[in-house]
Amino acid sequence: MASTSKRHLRRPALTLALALAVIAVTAACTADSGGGSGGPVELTLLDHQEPRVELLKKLLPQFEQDMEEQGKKISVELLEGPAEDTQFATKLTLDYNSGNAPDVASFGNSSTVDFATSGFLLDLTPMTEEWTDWDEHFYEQLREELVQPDGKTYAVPREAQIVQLFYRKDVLQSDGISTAQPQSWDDLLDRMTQVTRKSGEPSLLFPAGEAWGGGTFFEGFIHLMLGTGSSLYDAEESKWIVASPGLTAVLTYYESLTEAGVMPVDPLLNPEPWVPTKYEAFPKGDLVATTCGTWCWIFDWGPEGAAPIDGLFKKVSTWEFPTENGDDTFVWGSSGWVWAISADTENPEEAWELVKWLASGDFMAQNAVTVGAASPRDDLRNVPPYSDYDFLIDAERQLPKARSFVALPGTDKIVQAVGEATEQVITGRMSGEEAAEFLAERATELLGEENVKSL
Amino acid sequence: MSVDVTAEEKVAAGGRLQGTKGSSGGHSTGKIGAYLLLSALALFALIPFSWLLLAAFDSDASISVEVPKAWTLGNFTNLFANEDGVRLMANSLIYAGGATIILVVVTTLAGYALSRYDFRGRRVLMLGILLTRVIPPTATIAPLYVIATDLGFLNTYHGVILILAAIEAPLALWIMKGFFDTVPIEIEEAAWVDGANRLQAAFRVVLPLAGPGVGAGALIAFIGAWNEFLIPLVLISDQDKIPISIGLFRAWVSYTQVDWGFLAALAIIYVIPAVVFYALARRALQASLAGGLAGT
Amino acid sequence: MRRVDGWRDRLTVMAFLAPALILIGVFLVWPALWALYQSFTNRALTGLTAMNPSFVGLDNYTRLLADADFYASLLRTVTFVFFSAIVGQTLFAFLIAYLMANRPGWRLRAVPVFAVIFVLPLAVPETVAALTWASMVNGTESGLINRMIGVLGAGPIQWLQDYAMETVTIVNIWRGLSFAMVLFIAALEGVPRDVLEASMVDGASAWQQLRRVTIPLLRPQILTFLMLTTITTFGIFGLVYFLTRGGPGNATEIIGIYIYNQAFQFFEIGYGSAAGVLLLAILLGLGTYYVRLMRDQV
Repeated sequence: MASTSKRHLRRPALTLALALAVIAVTAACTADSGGGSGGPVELTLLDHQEPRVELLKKLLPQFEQDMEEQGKKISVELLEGPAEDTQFATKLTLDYNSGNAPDVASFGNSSTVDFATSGFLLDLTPMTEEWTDWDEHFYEQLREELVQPDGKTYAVPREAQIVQLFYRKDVLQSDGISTAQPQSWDDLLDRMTQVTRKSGEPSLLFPAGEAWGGGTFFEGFIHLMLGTGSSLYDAEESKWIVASPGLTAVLTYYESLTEAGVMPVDPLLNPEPWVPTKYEAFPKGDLVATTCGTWCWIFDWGPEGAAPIDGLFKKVSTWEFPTENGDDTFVWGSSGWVWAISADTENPEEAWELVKWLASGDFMAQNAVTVGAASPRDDLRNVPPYSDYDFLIDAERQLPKARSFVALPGTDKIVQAVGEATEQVITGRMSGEEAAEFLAERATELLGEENVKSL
Repeated sequence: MSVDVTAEEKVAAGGRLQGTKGSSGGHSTGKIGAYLLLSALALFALIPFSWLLLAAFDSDASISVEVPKAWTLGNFTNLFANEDGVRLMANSLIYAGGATIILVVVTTLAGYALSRYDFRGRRVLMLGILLTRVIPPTATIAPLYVIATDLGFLNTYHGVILILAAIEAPLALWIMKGFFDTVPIEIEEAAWVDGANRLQAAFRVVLPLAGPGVGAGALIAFIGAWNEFLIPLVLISDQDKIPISIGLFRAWVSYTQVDWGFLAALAIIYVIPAVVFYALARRALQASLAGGLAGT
Repeated sequence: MRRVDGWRDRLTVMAFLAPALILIGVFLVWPALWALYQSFTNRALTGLTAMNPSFVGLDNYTRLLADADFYASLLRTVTFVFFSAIVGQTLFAFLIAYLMANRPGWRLRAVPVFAVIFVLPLAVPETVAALTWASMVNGTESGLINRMIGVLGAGPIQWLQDYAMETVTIVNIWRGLSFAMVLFIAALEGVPRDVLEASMVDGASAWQQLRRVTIPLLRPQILTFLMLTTITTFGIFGLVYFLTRGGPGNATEIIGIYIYNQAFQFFEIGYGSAAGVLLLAILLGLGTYYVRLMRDQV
């Protein structure tokens, strides 16, 4: 029944297979050889995602040259990890575990706790103490955030990410609605309700529900939670606080937003909820306010972003986050990515030189504009190209009053519980209070009885 | 002793002969229906490949199936001009080629011994080896990672090659043994009479005769190793040593920055050896899947 | 075949067998045993226990058996195996094969031509199969399937979001169905003609013939194929991981992905090993039956 020959295999096929195999093994042998010689100290540096890697490719020769001028011979081999964050985290963890780690690596600050407690990272405390820039120029808020539970510092910020409320100045002005900083949640809700009454469209976005994944927590929920008097984690007892007046208040606020019709519920229930909201409704002017980070100026609505807005800076401006009681508005500010040195490095001094170089001057200024982040140090405002980016510098000025929430073991579970609870609220299946109870139950289930407490 | 593949072929060939003798008239509506069904199935089997074939020759490919506005071979020339592309192909060749060589040597020896020598525990051993065939890397990947770490196998070509060879070994061993069974012992005995010793006879007389079988085993092993995804995903983190399967995955996952044309071209290059070898070894593969490892 | 006799023979046999047995022993059997051992420890790749794992008894298993995600994953896997391996690749494939196969008074000349096409879905590497399907089921309006249903006025549907498990199951059926059919056609055409003709003379209907003659005759092959495809489907990882990475949420987290995620995303090697051991138990159970089917071939 086969159209091919009845023989199992013709001889040439066998020969071909064996020939291929021989070539392959020969290639393997040659590829494995080679290796180090005397001469300069060789460092490995691991990064991921194309714009970041390209920038390093361009600027690393400058580092080598700078070092040579100081009489140090250091060469850096740049390694590129998988672009996707989860894949990258897996790769890096496996590398650290097996002693294959790069001397210097860059990763999201949320991984720092895990890597530090696992003993993967070199304690940088003594080095930072000797580095005068550290105390003088790095924002205190960021330095404190990087101190681990054991009181030591294992990483240096690569950039500062600032999240605020972005709003359509033009739409509010033409509607005759105040563009002044809203102080309290009620203040914000009032104004957005007015907009919605006029347009008939949802006007305010705090990501919510399960479709947005982690964004519901980090781009929505947390900016409300930080505006309540309640904390989400008790560091002394190492327990998550899964029921508190603040939590109930946040979920009740989601309920009010939904009832007032300002929350874009339908888009939030769809996959890729950011498309109909941030990429469509906001540029169109239906949605007038949304949480967003400094990167949105470039990657979301910038001329080459996902959904460009013409005359962006005339039409869009930012507010700080209002609080529950209207007492103290704030922005979210945190080390986005950090630089860290492997505990196994054979050249800690040279690696530290590299980190210092990456965390200062030209490189940091270029990095900030490449990834759309603020500078984590206060002395770069005159360094080009950063000096040309007013919106980043404006964001940087808000760092002293920034708040943040650093990921802790179990964060993924809380993120999941928050996603589910907010989904219940925006779909109208539960009131804010019911959802708060639901959240407490889910979080307890996910985290385990012994890791949670209630207030 | 088992019935061999040749016997299966005889049955198949017999079926064919009988078929020709059988009436071919009548049932014409039935036949039209059958052909319609076959064609529908063929379409189902083929349509997913349309993207691959179109995008690979499209100078401006996307994830969607589109007839290229401008046809190009550029994606393929890019692939061979690009350091990353060449490295991916070389790596895949190294892993699959290396695993195949080791496997052929190792399973030829063992297959011969199992086919020609009767010893206590032979049966149990054969069945035991067969049982290991059901252990997928999925179930043991965590300890495999730990063991590979301890052996210093992470990020090495030889580590992955050995593990890939091991995964393919049980099946290859059975196939080899099946083919040695088809070589009549009398031929070997004749060689002994001519003064060759046992080993000489095995190498000079039996191996050439079982050659096609060894080839089939080699091809099947090569395909398995060539396609493997999980093992290199976990054991290879060095970007310079990843095979095509992981390269495709990484590119696909990064999504926004994907050069789809390049990806499709890479996928086509990746598919060719798999499909060609599959076609060559189909008979043996079919037998190995249809249970009768060595035929009906 | 000859009996091993004397030290020379014994040495030859051992020397011939040793490399293969070492390979299989070290990289297949040892990891399985190691999985069992490790499943009693809290070995992890990150956190405080990363450096010095300790023995935790049955903790991993009690946790696993209380983990709703694990049950969900297991149930998902069983459903996946049932629909893709048993219904799709065996039952469905056999029925079509039965309709197509040559038999007295029925012959489709073009079947071999189709057989060549039918090999393709299984012959391509799973990563490529996943990639091509990713294009097919692309959730935008320009996805091929969405364009097809768009003609009927439906869609666009986000296949990998809203129907992820269904989509993945269909992809796996696609992968195995046509080749299984080719196999079954070959097996059906191997059924001795005189047996079939005899049953026709006895006045058996087509259905009776199938039930009383063909299936009993082919029982060993059908069962062996069924066992093999079931076992392989339980162990699937790459095809699904490539397409969805287990998502959205946990929607397509079949057991292989569950194990991988525990071990390499949450870095809990001990816990992941325990899940691996349970999968092994299932597979060895099925495997023992498979080996029994194959016993006569040794």
